[in-house]
Amino acid sequence: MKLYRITAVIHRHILLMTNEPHRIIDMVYWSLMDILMWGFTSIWLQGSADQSTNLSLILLTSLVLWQVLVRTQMEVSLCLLEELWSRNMVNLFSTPLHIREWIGAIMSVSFIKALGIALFGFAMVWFFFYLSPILSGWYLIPFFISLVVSGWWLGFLTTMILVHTGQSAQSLAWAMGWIIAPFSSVFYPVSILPPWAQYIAYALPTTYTFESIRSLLTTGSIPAHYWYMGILLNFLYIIIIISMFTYVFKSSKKYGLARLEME
Amino acid sequence: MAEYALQVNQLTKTFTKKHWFSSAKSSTTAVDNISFTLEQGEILGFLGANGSGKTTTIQMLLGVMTPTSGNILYFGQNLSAHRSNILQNVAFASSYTKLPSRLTIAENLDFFGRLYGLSRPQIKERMEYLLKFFSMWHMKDASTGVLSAGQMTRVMLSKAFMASPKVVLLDEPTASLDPDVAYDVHRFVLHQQKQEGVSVLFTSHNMNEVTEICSRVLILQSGKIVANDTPEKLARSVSTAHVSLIVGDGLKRTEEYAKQHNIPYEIKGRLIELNIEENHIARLLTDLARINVEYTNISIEKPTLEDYFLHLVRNKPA
Amino acid sequence: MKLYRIKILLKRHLMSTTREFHRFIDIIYWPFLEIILWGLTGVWLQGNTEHLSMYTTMLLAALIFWQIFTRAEHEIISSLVDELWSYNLINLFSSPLEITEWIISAMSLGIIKSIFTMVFGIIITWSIYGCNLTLLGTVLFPLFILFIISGWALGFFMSALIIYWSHKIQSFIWALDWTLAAFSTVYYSIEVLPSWAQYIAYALPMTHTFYALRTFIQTGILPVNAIYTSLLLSFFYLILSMYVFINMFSKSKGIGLLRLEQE
Repeated sequence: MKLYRITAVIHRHILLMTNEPHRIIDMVYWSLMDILMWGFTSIWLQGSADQSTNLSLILLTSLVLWQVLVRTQMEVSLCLLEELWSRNMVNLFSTPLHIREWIGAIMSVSFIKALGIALFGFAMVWFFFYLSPILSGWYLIPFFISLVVSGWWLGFLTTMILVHTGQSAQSLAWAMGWIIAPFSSVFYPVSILPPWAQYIAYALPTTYTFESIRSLLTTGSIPAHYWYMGILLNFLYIIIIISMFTYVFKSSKKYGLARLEME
Repeated sequence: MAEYALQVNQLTKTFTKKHWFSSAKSSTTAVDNISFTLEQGEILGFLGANGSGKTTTIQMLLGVMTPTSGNILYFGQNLSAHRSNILQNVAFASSYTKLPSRLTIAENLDFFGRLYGLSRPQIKERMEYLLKFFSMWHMKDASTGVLSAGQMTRVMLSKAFMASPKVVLLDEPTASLDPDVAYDVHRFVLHQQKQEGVSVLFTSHNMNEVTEICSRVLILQSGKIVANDTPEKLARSVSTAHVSLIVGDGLKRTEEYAKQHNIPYEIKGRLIELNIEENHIARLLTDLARINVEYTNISIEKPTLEDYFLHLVRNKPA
Repeated sequence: MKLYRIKILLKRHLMSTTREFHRFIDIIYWPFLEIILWGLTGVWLQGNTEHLSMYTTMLLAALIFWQIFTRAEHEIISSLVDELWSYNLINLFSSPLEITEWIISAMSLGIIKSIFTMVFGIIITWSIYGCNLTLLGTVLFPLFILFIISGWALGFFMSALIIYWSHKIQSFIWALDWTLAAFSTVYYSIEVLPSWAQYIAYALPMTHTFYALRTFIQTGILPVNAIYTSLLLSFFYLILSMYVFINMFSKSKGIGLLRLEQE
């Protein structure tokens, strides 16, 4: 493992952002629109709902943190897609670069972007709706980290499929993260889900994170076992998925990496 | 004796497709038990028709495709065991890959330089040297997405030579290039070979180019190596020279002579075309002079690698 | 104008819907996901799970109609953009095909897929939430038509931008999409928006159609002037957008269509 190779890949991806600001604008604009949509809707619903809690605050905090998760997943997949689109696969992987180093670089890049999205999101929520999720205090940090890790394993799951199937599956880069949205009880508590769905929900670390947020904002405390389950599951998933990804990458070489670039 | 820059032993690549509705398997062998060597400082031509297994072999040599069996050794070390170390000294350039188009030339070369472990000053020096050689220095801040085919090839070559590799695989580097740019590429490759002792595996569809640059040629057909020799020897092995004469006086005598010596010929008006061995040409001309044949025009076509290649392709076993 | 050319173009797009992954994702995955997420959130907010409150019904109905609108719009855009991506634009427009035939084919594609989206949406909301949108009765018909027409209008307007500016404009287009969603008062009534935004909202036909939908669900009466306003605006925008599109198409040909495929 060489650090200089990892930094080279990180630098390459950061250059993409700075050379073409429209990617950042994309990311930021989409996030802003989402916030506005949910924000206005929750204000309207607040007038009619039976809840006494601050609905908008809960929804918007969950939304921004959800964006962190889904954006991290997208960024991880997009890193591979960029190489596919620029027909750079053979150039890149015929260098001494090791797949572990590439994985490390991608995790770093997506972490930086996730941080950007989180800060931007919270700033927008404050600016447009005068709500400050920062009031949840330092809890935001472990929530953020937990969701980035979840974004990582979701992202590598998608990238695993991409590295096996190639460009034709590229829609997954945007679609994959959302599969766990209904189950992770992002906007509603797990109790709303039918029992079979609840089983799936409780197997996902993201559920514990979002339930914790809701619990924190409504009651001011978080059940202890949520912490443990969240951390444990995340840890487990990421180890398993990264190992699987490395394996799939190596076995993809049986068919040659160049084939992935074809439509 | 110094070790080989590259040694390929019994390399095979088979693709098996399992039919999911029956237990039958259909397999295609893209590369069939090939073995060859590349000497240090040699430029080896690697030819084959499309679908002959060339690209598959190159992917395996670069470690982006795992072989079914056989091994690949660079300077005596096995590629699969020492991948990172070996690839440090191996480079690749192709007309069919591109570089990230949203980065500038300088950023791209910097990226690859760093991947190979070069320091900042080294990268700066190499980039300047290579880009200036290819007259691309003034474009170093242009995005690679706007380059023409010729410019892209030159940048690709710069990328390949950034880290001063010992072995370079060039996959059709001059495809879709103007002749003057192609000339520059040849000049560069030969220069690298002489000055730096770089060993080159060179793929092309252009027979003239291969004859010009390569000291030896491998020809791949249906996954097997069917020829491994110098371009001249291969050319001579199938074809004889063509001597064309526009005869002023003595056409009949020339014809008689040809029949007598069993030389195949063809007459078109006053032009007679003879196919004879290259080393018999001098004797032919002397003999024709002796029987007072006067010709106003003569052209001699030597056999080329292309003749050999066409012969090979036309006589391909079914 | 030849009918057979229109038909064959339509067939080409319908075939690619079944064969291309990303079109499948567009027409099944995203709508399904949205119905689950928004619906379950609505169910949670209404405070009970026995029967649907009026607000949740409005939410679901609005969602389905928004999907119908975007489907009509996106199909127009996809008809163009898919050709761009598969480098087929020159092949297509160097054939005897006339631009008016292309327009009709795109509109037909929009209707067909919107019908599918509507039926799909009704079935899903019925099976998951027991919300029977067919109870809207004959009102479905005018609402459907209005959304189709405004969807077409937006689609042609976007296509006009694409045919002139190619890929680069794409992020702007999707951004515009999202912006209009916020201004169209899909889920909330217009009073929620700040006053400057209300001006923009009133100029959009979708705002009036959604208002009509909400009023009908709440009171059982369809506000006829909202319908007429929407109809007028939709037709106006449709004619305008078609005109703009044909104009931009000619202008683009003036510079040469090949440049669009070469980024």
